[in-house]
This record gives sequence, C-alpha cells and structure tokens, in this order.
Amino acid sequence: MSAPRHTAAFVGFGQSRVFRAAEVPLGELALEATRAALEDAGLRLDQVDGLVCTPDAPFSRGQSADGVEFVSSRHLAGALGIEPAWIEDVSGTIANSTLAAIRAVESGACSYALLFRALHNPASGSYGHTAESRSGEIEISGTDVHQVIEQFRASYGLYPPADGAALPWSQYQARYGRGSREDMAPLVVQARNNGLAYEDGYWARYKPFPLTTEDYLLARMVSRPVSIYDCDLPVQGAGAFVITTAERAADLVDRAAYVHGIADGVPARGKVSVDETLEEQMADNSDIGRRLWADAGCGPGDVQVADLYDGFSIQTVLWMEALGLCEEGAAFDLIRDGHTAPTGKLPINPAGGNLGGGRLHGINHLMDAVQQVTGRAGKRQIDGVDRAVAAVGLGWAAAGFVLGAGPAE
Amino acid sequence: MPGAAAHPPLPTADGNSRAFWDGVQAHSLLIQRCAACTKFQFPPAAACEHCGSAEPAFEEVSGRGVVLSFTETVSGARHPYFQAASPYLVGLVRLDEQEDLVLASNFPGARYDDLCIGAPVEVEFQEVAEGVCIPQFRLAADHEGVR
Repeated sequence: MSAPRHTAAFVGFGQSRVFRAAEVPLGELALEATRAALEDAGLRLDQVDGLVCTPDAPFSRGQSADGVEFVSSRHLAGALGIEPAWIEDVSGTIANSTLAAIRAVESGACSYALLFRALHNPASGSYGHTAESRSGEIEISGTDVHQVIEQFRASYGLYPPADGAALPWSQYQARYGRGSREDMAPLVVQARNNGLAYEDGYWARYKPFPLTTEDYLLARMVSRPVSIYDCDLPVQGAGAFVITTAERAADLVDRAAYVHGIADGVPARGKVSVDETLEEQMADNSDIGRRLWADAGCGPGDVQVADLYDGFSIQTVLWMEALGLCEEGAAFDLIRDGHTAPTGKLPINPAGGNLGGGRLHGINHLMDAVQQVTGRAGKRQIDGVDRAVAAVGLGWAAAGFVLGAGPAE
Repeated sequence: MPGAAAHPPLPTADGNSRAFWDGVQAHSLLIQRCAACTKFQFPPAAACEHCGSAEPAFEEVSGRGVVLSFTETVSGARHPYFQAASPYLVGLVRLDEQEDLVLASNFPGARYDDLCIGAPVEVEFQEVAEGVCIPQFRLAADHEGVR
C-alpha cells in the first residue's frame, strides 16, 4: 500500500470583524483573525513555526503602509511577537498562499503553518481607483503585465474587473443560448440568502435582508449583463487558517479537514490577452480541474458541496462546468432546478461566497469547505458531507482543493 | 461631449508596439508575423510566441474580423471621458487571419441590440485626439442592422 499523496489537514479557522471600508487598520484585523484561528485549533502561539500570507492588494497601487493598507507575514510576525522558522509572502490570492502552507507542512518545513489573508478597502474614494487611473494618460488596472496591455484597451474604456466578467458572459449566452439575467437570478439570490446564514459575513452583520429576484432584475447595470449584484461588495477584513499534518491534527482537534487533493493555477501565459476570452478562462479552469481530481484520486461525483469563487456571478457558473460538476452549458439547468441550493443535490457556496459575504476572495470558500467536512458549519451544515471541493481565484492566482472528513488514503 | 476629459486615455507605445501604433496613425493595421513559422501574434512582443524566433516582422492584415464578445458599460467607468460617454459599447474582435488575434473595439455606429457574436466587422481608424488614432471595428455594411 502506497503512502497517501497528502498528509496536511486544516485544524483551525478565524475571521476578523468585517467592515465596508478601512475603519480599522488592516493589521489589527489580521491579528484578530490569526488569534481566533489559533484558539479554534487549540494551538499555542509559541507552537507556530510557519507563517504565510498573500499581501497583495486586490487592486493596483492600493498598498503603501504595511499593517495599515496591507499586511505582510513579517509585519504580523512582529505584531504577534513570534519568529517562525518558515515565513513567506506569496503573490496572487489566498489560493497561492494556501498551497504554500500545505506544502510547507507536508515537506516538513514547518509543523504548524499559520496562514492569513487581509483585504483592504480604502475608506474614501472608489474601489481600486487611483490617482493614475483618474487622470493618467494610461489606465493602470493591475500588475506590471497589465501596464503592457493597457495601451490596447484603456483607449476603449475596457475595464477588466466588470468587463472581464461581462465579455465571457456574452460569449456564454451566444454559445449555449442560456445565461440570461433571469437564468442568473436564482444563483445570486441564493448567494445572498446563504450569506445571511453566515453570521460573520458582511451582509449578515450589517444588512441582513434577502435579495429578491425583482431586486436582482431591476439592479443598476454595470457592464451588461453584469449588474451591481453580480459583483461582490468590497470590504475590509481578514481570515486565517491553521494547517498541520494529519498526525499532529489528532492531538489538537476532534475533527480536522484533511487535504485530499490540490492543484495550482495555470502558469502565466507567454502572451497577455487584451482581455480573457471564455475559451481562455474555461481552458484555465478545466486544466486546474483535471489536475485536482487526479491528485485527489476522486471525481466530481464524490463531493457533496462545492465552494466556488464568485467575485462575479458568472465565474461560479464557469467553475461548475470546468470542474465537471455538470456538463458544459448545463449549469443554469442545475441552478434553475434548485440543485445548487443548500437542499439541492450539489449545494454551492452555502456560506454565501463573496456575493453573499463580501469580497474576502477565497477566505469564505475555504472556510466553508473546512467547516462542512468537519461538521462544524452550524445552521449551514449540509448533511452527509464526506468531501468538499473549493476553487479559488482565476488563472495563475487560482487553485483547487479537495478536502475530506477523513485522512487521505 | 460634456465632461472633464476631452479625449480617452491615449495609447503609449512601447518598444514592441511602436510599429503597430505608427501603422495605425497611417491608417494601416499592422500585425506581427513570424518569418520562421508564419504565424501571426497580437499583442506585439519581442519574440514569436509560437516558435520563439526573434523579431517577428509586421505585416498589414485585412482589417476584417468578427465580434468575439461585447458589453455595454453603463456605470463603473473610471476615466472621466468614459464616465461622460456612458453608456458605451466595448468588446473584443477576432481578426480573420488567425483565431487568437484579439483586439478591443467600441463598435462605432452600432447600438447594443445591433451587435451579435460572430457578426463581421471591418477596421476603421478613429482620431481620438489631434494626431492620435486608434483602430476601431464597425459592423460590416452587409450586416448593418441585422439582429
């Protein structure tokens, strides 16, 4: 009998308070989240010998002061008063730093990895709007690679966040004859309702009201067919996880979330695109899916819940199809028939994801997958969850995870 | 047009794209083509993305393509010019020469309901500021008004 491919397990989760904008320095929220995660795991601070995060702001040039507008691992180590043997900042999203934490534990680089992610939303002005983007000759919308590509899209008013969802969505509609706003409504309405069942989410905490189909259909348009409710709400907050080996997990907690499979995002392409097409997004996501199921030694029929990235509503649909949770072009049939609701045959984002909880990127998705397989999701708990799949992010800043209620075999 | 900005953000050429933008100012759509493997590529780069050969040359293309995707940006534009211009059409065009040659366009003259994916388009050159042109793609004459 061969050794299991994976030996890591999630043993703790913590989330900070969430604010609409930067009322509290981000470093304080990172401390809240990490302390809560350690308490959840029953781990002493002096046992933490690994610390990792993704410090990147979710928009360009939004970060200047460590501990205020972004939080690095070194900043948090100083704030916690620890000197872990392994410490790292990983670019991308929490997807990337979660992979690093799992690998650090499995390779023996550390015994107890504390993983955190803190997301900033400026207190004034509009999200991601910088002085450069308001007045500059060239629109800056992301990383350096975007500065090269902006010359081919800024003059057209092509804005990657919302248009990057609207354009593939328009392709999807043409290709499958599905995906009208009426088709999308149940997914978005359900996301909000699910989010209201997660008490630490933004909507549950501040605006605990369901979204109606009518609200959705009458919503302010951003980039057709993307309305304001197809976009997650930017918030300020932090989440943290404790990851260790399955063996050590048994000494800490009754039930751990065991890593069964992982898959990295696709490597950055040699070429950059003016904007990603449906074909490119599906190819990337499908590639992650293929490697994820191979690594986990199971398939899409073996998971009872899916936590799928939903910075924009269409992204959840693309993940459903790319991971093989349904046939290509069939996601809206499942949504229409209620199968993606908590009572359906494939519940999606029962904690609300980002649409129902606020823009904490993959924190919500990983948290829910961990809690579902450990039976700790409270009123959100789906019956009989043995395995959960989580897909976080997009492109190179994405990853897939399969977590199980028992150790990987 | 009312608004704080007289023109949209203007393209700033880099070393790889200078010939492309010089071509556009002269109303010619120049796309890189590799002498070694004969494949086109866009955006311009220092080497051929297909075979790695250095310095792919620029070649004029037909300027014909199809609508690949489109949206109407209603709110959320960042630049004052586009805030004033909202709602406006924006999307991607796939050139006929090769499947992965994808450029942006505002589809001048079209309304949202006129556009459909796969509709043929033709290049034209729009002067967005004095002496500065960008390529745009207009629904081909034989397609105008077709839903």
